[in-house]
Amino acid sequence: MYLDPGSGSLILQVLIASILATPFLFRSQIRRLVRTMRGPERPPESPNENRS
Amino acid sequence: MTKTSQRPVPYVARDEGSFRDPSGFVYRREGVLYRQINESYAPHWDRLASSGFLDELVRAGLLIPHELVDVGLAAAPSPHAVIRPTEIDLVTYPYEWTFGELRDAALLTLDIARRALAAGFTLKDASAYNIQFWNGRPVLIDTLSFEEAVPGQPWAAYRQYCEHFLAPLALMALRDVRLGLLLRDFLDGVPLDLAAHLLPARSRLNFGLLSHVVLHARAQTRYAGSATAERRRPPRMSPLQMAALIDNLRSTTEHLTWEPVGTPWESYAENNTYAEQAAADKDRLVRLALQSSTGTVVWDLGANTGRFSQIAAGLGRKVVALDVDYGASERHYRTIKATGESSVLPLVIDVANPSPGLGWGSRERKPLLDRANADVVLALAVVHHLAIGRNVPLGSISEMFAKLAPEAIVEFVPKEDSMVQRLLASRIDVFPDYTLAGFRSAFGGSFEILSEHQIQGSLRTILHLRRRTGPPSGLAAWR
Repeated sequence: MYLDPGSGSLILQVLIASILATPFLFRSQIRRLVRTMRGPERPPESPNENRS
Repeated sequence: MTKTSQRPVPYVARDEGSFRDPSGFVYRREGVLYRQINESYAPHWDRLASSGFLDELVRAGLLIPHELVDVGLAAAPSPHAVIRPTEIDLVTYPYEWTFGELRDAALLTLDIARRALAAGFTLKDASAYNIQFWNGRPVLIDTLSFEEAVPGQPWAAYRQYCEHFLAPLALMALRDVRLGLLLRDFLDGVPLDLAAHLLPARSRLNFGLLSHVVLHARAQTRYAGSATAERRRPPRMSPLQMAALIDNLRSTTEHLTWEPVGTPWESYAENNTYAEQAAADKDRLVRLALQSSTGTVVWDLGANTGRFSQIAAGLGRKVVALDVDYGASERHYRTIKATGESSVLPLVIDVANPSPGLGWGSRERKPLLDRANADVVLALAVVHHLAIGRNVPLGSISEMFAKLAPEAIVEFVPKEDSMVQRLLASRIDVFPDYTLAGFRSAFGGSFEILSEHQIQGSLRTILHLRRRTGPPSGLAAWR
């Protein structure tokens, strides 16, 4: 059997991403708004940068 | 005339695990590690090098540093450039990591993918083998994992992320932490249909796991046979959609947690039989032996939550802390993370069944014993588990320690000790040679005894051993 697991991954990925995009944009805007109201703040960083 | 049949030792040796990526490969030239960048990757490399993106990652501690060296040091035809990456002390594999280590490696991968997207690149691989632990934290070691982003193209590494990270982490968190060992059999990551089959039903209530594992597995099956027959127009995806996808993978991964409670050994440090005085004396004797030992790398076998690894680290040693117990190693990892300790690497490894050679030719992922870089083996309260718990003859244990390092600091726990009594409780004592005298005799073949002290307030003994020069007798597999 010659099976291609890649096609399904691509199609599903785009489907999920299109569902997620609007709520993600909405959350990002709210976060941006909160940040503007609170003043400058450190952006979220990788776990590595919190380590000494 | 005599002609020697010996072939000259090649002074350029290609890494046996570095053959998958046409962009370049890793090799050693006269012992020094290099990475060749092939002509085919030239446009991406030039754009990467001039963008400052790699420097940004290195500065943030996310990517292993490298320096550009003379292209004349290349190992194969048509090189575009050669870099010399900073070398990792010990290469380890995801099936040797604790839950927390695999999770941190996963989050690092997503963080890099997110930054790449913002910089106009794409992370083309999300292989767990591209992450290594360096100074106590995960870093990306594959500098060639990036390509210029093509507008509209989905994330090529999405499936690999799900198979290498999300599926094993979900299984470990929601089913059983020991399922992390599936990565040892499935070198390309845990197949998603298998993960979906093994995950508990409640995982379907989680949007991320439902989509990225369960539905992902179904989509793979559904479209598996149709790709060549009806060549689809490749689906397109906007940068916003890709950012949303990576963000969702991140929160799905972050919500996977596992608490190290209830494994056989996680609470040993609090519930052992050491009286306070004996524990203090053991600390003192181990410290003394470590101080008089040479070298920089200590392998702590049966390290538990790291009491003695911490002593070695306090003396400036680099420590690889091996324990078979996921709970104990996880607690150890959390301790070093919380304290910012950078010289200890906890790993989940059964000393009686160390990682074998795996992959292509059994050489792609190397056996643990071939990777051993120890100067000192620290084996405290572990020999009785091997000798009595696993029936390994004392002579074989000695050979194994001699193979791992030139020095060993070993605790001998006699039969009269309550912990050994427990091991013998439900079985016939078939170990007539398991005595201190028998230990000295068995280890005498490979080692000389530098010092020997009984721990005050206990029946146990700490011995500091040095390997005899030359291969010890009876060790066929000497490297």
